Amino acid sequence: LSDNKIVFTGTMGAGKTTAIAAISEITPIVTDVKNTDPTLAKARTTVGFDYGELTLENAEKIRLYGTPGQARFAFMWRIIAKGALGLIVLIDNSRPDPVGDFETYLDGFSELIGADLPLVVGIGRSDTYATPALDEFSDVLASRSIIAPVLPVDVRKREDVLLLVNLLLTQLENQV
Amino acid sequence: MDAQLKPLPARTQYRFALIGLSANDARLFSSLFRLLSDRMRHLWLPVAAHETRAMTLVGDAVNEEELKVARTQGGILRIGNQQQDRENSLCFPLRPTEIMRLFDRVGESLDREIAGSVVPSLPATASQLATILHAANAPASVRAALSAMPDITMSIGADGRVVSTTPASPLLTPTHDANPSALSSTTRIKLLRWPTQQLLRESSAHLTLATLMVYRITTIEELQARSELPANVCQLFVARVLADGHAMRDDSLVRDASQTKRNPAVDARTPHLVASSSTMIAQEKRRGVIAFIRRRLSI
Repeated sequence: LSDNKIVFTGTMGAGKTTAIAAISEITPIVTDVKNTDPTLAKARTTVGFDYGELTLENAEKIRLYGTPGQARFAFMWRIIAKGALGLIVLIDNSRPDPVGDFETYLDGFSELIGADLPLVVGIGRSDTYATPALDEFSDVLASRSIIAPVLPVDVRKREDVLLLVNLLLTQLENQV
Repeated sequence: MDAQLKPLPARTQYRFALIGLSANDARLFSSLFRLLSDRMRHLWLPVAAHETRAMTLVGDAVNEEELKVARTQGGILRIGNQQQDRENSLCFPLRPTEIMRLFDRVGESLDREIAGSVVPSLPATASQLATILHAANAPASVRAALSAMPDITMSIGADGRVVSTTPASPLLTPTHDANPSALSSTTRIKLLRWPTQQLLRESSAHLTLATLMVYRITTIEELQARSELPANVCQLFVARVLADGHAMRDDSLVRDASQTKRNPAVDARTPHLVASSSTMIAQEKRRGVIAFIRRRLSI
């Protein structure tokens, strides 16, 4: 998959599709199917990947990809994220083990993160589910010698999604 | 030669808690407070209801038990839909000027209390000392009296700040032991881990500054230029991450930088050490793409 892309990953129900829809200039192409996971309170979930895009003033496209959430699709995560500008990890703090979820994604993308792929971590529903605290996610990053922004988000708000992208771009600027 | 930044006017740090408000009102107050906190005369840190603090802001929905605990934790101010006492309460709709006026007034009152009457009535336990020790402006007489207490030994730095305590206590660890005024604008700083949410929540500027330090050894001068934030905000933030142990300033970083400064003559003989022109073109292209995305999304 071509360069100039931003990848959204994270747990089922964390809002990857919503986040892409918040900034894409096209109606996102989604590969949703009826959800058969009884632990997840949503009717449909992504099994392939979501796709949105932005056209820049030089006519280049920025492609926005959302990975499928389930760990059984981990083989797709690396394919999608290879060559990406950056990775946005969305975690749903209302799930039973958000920190464990987070570690699953860090493991899944470890090769790319280790090669300095900029990373931003957005924690959803932390206002209603205060534990684990956001600092616990930072602790996990620190234990792996990764430094990346960790912040509370509500991806239904476009400004929150823009903030995630902004922090990703700032890190890219730090690298060049 | 390092240019020294003008020393910051030190802000005394106090802690406060908010109890007895609905979730919506608490959120409203907190977001407004975050916007105002940089403009207040004191550094007010919001803490949880069970933590030691100098003041509690109490809403109408408080219960007796919470109120009883709050009374043991310094002063109490009211916040609610009906203003009960203009001097000591806040009323919805909240007005920024009234919030700032109230907090400034309480802070000044605490300053006076520390400077004047605290010595004869020294608190007995380490946790009770916390509020006072966090007050970096406490006069020498207070600090000397505190250090003379039998159950605690304090090391006080040349600038009058508490450097260490025995027994060690997280509450007694001064959060400003990296003196901001001692930081040069060109001191190279490396972020070691993402800062605490407590620090990030104090000001929206902190999120920006922390992100500017990811992947990059930086200086206060550079942070100021890139963030377009006031120098003292950058300086104070760096001092805080240093004090928290989440960043390091190291002379070796300066030496490393000077040692890696390129010598064109050497570069000519060792082309493998020089970034290839294709790498430079790629970096230039990357900068262009970032700028285009920023313009496209207006960020």
